[in-house]
Amino acid sequence: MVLGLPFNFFWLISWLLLTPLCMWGAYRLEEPRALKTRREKGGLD
Amino acid sequence: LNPGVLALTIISSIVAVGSLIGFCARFHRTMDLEQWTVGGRGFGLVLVWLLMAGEIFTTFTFLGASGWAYSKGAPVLYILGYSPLVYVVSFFILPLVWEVGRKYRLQTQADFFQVRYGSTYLGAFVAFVGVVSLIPYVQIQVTGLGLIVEIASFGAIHRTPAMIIGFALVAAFVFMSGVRGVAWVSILKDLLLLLAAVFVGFAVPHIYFGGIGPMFAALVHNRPSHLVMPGATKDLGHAWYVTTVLLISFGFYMWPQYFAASFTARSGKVLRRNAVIMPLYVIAMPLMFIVGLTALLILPGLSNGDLSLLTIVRQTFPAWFLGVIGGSGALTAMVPAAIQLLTGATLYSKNLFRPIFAPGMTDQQVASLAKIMVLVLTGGALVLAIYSSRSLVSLWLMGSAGVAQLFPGVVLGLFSKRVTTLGVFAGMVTGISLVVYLMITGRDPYFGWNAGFIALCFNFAVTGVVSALTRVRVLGFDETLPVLSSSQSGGVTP
Repeated sequence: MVLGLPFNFFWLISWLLLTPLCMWGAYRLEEPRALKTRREKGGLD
Repeated sequence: LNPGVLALTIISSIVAVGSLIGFCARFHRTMDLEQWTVGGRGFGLVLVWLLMAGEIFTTFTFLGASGWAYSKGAPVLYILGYSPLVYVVSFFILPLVWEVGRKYRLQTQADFFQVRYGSTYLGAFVAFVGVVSLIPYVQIQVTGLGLIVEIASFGAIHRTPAMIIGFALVAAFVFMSGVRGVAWVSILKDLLLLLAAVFVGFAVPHIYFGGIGPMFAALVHNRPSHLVMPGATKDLGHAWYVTTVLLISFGFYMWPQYFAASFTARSGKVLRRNAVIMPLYVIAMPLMFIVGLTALLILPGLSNGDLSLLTIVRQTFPAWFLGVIGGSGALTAMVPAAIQLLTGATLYSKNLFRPIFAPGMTDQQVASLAKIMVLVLTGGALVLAIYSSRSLVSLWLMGSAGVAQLFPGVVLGLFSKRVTTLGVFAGMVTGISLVVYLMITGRDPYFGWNAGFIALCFNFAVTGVVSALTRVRVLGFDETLPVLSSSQSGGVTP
């Protein structure tokens, strides 16, 4: 048990919190690239 | 005051306020097909989030997840397994879908296939698959609404009349307001749902066991097998868990209503940001499991696990609170049902009926037919809900396995120039036939694997082989001839 939860519960719930953090990092990396592509295509976004 | 009357009065008030918001959303807007289906493509982060979260938190979550935790145990954790992965997939795919959607004025998932593969018949087939898969999803909402009113009225109102009244209201506000109405009602629905989930999720185990930790300790002591795979089932083991998580992660955004929701966004950036924050919204989901597991210890032996949340709330809290929970549950059924009906009706009218039976129909006529189809689909789902006894989660898994078979066509359509129309069609037919066969013959799971995932693997293999053997007719979106005329698309085709 971790923080009163069975480990499998705790593990899965923790990924609900960690995923946005990882994806925020991906967003910061991806967005400038997407912006560049959009500008090359004539500004769709 | 009779507790049933009090609870029902509160439920009716919440539903009335929600419906009023839905009706008001149409003010100052001309409700043409474009506005009705994709909200004029102008939704920002908040409205897109509300729309997508509104569709994702359905009766499946509210009653079905707690129901499966109650009746099956650990296998319900597949929901927490796929939830983060779904948004990772959407982060990379939806902005691309949005981009072609804006460029070619796409309104439905079938439009995507029609334009990408240059085939009206492939689009019609995709529309058919979408409509057929959506019916069990609408059925989930109809059944859930009936359960809520039946429990909240302490059995005074039977499930069938409750379902009929509730869905007459849903049909009316879809008819009037379109996708914008659904997004606005989601504000009330999501606020109530989150408050209800957080309060009930913490309060119920606290009242009976002194907290979540002591509740799990009691569960480990009394029903240890419920917390490990395969839980209370015989065949939902680890292989089923992994294959189901993969199937849903790939197939989740293939639900036509989620796919089409991406067309409402103002930009691809909105969809990326939405994918970043959406997993946080799923935090309320484990609380539903906790309520189901607490109910298992307090109220063992319920005939239908889907009743566990409402039954324990009715036993634990005063009638007015049951009314609040019931009201938020009713909106949780009505909001997703509205968007499902809207999508199903548009798919049928625009991509199935018009190209096959009436190519001369104008957009206005398509919009009118779609509104009639809202009533037809509502009626169909009602009949199924009245006569079917499947659990809410099993209905959802059935529909998911069907729509997931569209994944190869979407992902290869976006990233590959070698995939062919015939390849995608052959793959889809193989996948869907296999799913239907395995499910009808009771072979899901098959050798421990999710039947939908097995079908998806065959689908990919057949798509690849047939594409390799046939000539590429359309290389990609940029090489596609304009397929949708302005009257077909509701806009201008480049």
